[in-house]
Amino acid sequence: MDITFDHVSFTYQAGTPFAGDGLKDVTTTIRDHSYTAIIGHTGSGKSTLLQHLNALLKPTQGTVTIGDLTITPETNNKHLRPLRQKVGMVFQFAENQLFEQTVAKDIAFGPKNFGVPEAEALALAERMVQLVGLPEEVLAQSPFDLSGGQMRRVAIAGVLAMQPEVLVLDEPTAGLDPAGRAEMMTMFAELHRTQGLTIVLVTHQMDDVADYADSVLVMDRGQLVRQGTPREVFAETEWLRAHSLGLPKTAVMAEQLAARGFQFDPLPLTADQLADQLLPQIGGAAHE
Amino acid sequence: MLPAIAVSHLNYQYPDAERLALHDVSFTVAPGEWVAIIGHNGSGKSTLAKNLNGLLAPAAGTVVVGGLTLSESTVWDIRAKVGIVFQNPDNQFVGATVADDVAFGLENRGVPREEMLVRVADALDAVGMRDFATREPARLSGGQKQRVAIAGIIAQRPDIIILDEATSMLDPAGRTEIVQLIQRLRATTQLTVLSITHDIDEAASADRVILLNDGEIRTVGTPAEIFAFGPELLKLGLDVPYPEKLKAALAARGVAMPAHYLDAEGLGDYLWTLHSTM
Repeated sequence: MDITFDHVSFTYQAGTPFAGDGLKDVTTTIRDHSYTAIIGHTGSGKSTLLQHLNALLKPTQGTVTIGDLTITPETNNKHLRPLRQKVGMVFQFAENQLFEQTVAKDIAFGPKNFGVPEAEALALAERMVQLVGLPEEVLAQSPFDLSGGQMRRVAIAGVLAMQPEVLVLDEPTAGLDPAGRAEMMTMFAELHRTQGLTIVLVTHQMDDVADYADSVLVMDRGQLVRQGTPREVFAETEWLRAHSLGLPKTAVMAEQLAARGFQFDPLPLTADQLADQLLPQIGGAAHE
Repeated sequence: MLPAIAVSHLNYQYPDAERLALHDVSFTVAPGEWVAIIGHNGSGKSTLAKNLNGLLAPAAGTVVVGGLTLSESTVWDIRAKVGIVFQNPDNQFVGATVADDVAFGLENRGVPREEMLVRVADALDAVGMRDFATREPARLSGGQKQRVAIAGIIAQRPDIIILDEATSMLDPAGRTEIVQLIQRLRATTQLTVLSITHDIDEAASADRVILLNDGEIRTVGTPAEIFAFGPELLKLGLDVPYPEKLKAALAARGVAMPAHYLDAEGLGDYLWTLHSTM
């Protein structure tokens, strides 16, 4: 299921003295099965863009096409229900949305709301708990007795239980420690690979963009200012710096090494890629 | 000189917990020193911070702050010496404007109005937020909110500031903002800083690092000494500085690498030497 933005603009509080631009003339396509990262400063329009992915917001101008459904400024909310199931949203600090007495009930809540019979919804919860890497025992536990990282996994399992085709993640690793962050990112990569989910990730972690994404959208003041592969986008080091957007650590290191006279082509984005390119330039493994 | 903080043989156990959250923790912090406490989530870092100003009461051991031994009779004096900045900036605002918020702690302590105005202005100057004095805290960026929270602390002129994962909810720009602010404050004041963090770059700015694992002190050293642990830090649930990652990638390809910690500059020097002697 592709999601296509065609000249989409969005104005907050349109028609009032408080009107403000959220999005300005955004045109792009998020491809089926892609892993797309959205980067940009706080207030650059990332969240506004995200909310168009399942029509929580509707464009003020232009159209958003999600699979076979076209959203225009006139679209009636009544027809949006199937869409909310197909595009799963994991908001920041998703664990704040847990509320049920047990993990199983919390995960089953969404599907039940969409008409899935209770027994089936609970069976679904069992499968989802496995999918997010939690032990079966947690199903009967209160979600509030779990650690922060586990609670977030339960919240994600609740979104996955809707069996979406697209998983939208708004800074899913914020507040986790490095080990928790790495586990979470590995889990999303697995879901992308094994379940064929399209992933849309909003992040400030440029290393995650380099490691996982195949496509990058850069937002700035409501506009889509760059799009391409991570390599294409990160190649513009000067431009990124001027917009204080940061670079993957490998790109920064490669730049420092290039200033000494090392040569890299193409720009390495991970430590392994950098090591591979360095090897012939430092006499290889045989150097003693 | 009297240590700013002296902790000896501290134990702490949460009610109903089976095991100790802190076990036999001892360390000292010198006045004006910046010490980072690192460890994975659940390693006991925040429990330790709460034991330092009496938010939690130790099961055994002593905490001495600025020469005062923490007890029921000294806890208020100690809290006047120790300010804590917490993780979530949105959970610590009470004022309608930035200036009101900074003044809140002073009002509580009965500081006269004239002095309060001076202290608030000074504190906002110190964190570079004076232009925002009349703004609403909710409308600031994460980094700006934490700067205001820090201003609220330094307006009370504490000897010690504890940053309890104060940068973990900020974006990279906000994080840099806070680390640079702390460096600036230390250059101009005698402030002792204890930063509890799992951000390896924040730890790199400290004078010394205490590595906590499962409620016990695993080791204490300079950032370079701690970072030389390399991949073992990953096993402890922490990140390693980037140069260590590249070193590991090169070592895996059979390149001989030095065992001691190198920063980006040092690693660049080393690699260039290899290149030049090819």
